[in-house]
Amino acid sequence: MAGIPRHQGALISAGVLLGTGLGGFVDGILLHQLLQWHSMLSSQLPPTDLVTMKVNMFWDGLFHAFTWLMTVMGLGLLWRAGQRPEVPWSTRTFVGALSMGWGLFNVVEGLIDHHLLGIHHVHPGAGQLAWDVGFLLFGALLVGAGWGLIRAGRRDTRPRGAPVSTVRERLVERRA
Amino acid sequence: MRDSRLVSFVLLVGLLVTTAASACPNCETSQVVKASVLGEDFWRYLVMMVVPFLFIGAVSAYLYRIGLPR
Repeated sequence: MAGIPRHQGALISAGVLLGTGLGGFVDGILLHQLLQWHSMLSSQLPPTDLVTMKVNMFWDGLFHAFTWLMTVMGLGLLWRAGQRPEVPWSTRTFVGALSMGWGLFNVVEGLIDHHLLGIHHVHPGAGQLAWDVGFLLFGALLVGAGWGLIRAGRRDTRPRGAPVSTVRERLVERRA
Repeated sequence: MRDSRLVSFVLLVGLLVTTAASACPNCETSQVVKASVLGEDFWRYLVMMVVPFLFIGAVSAYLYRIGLPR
């Protein structure tokens, strides 16, 4: 791999989009549907009767559609990255990018939808602000952890398909 | 051959599902919901929903560029 330029960015951009999709689906499935803490417009149009519930469900569906599109785009970028020999197939870089994508989703969506526009909150009612801030902090943590992993992954140079040495092989090599 | 049968099956299931979902398109509730969704706030809500995704897409594009080979 020496002398071949390393294009970490291709893997990072794919991972960020996929991570955003993951984060969006966790929000949509867990918070919107399973726990039913909020819907997309639940602060502006509280789902208290059938009509308002259905309207919120439409916007939740549209939110899921955009999340799905991000996931598809991320998959496409990942596939293209895998076809380029100059992209190091680094687990740390990819997992870091996934974490960063999820965190970015939390931070960006949290700031815009929860704080700036107020169209919904994580857990409306008592402790609403604490839940919203906690959501942001969790996102910031994911972004920080992801960035750290990406920086550590800069040292990885193994191209896609190259054999991975197992722990046992590395121990044998060291003893030899 | 298998692929075309699979595609036909998926299309048929999709048709059945959408038919069931629109079983009562003229019900009063459906009319009210449609009017509410497609009302004057539709574009405002759509823009509010899309903006976070556009921003993250821009960040992804930026990270692609800063990760280019030196």
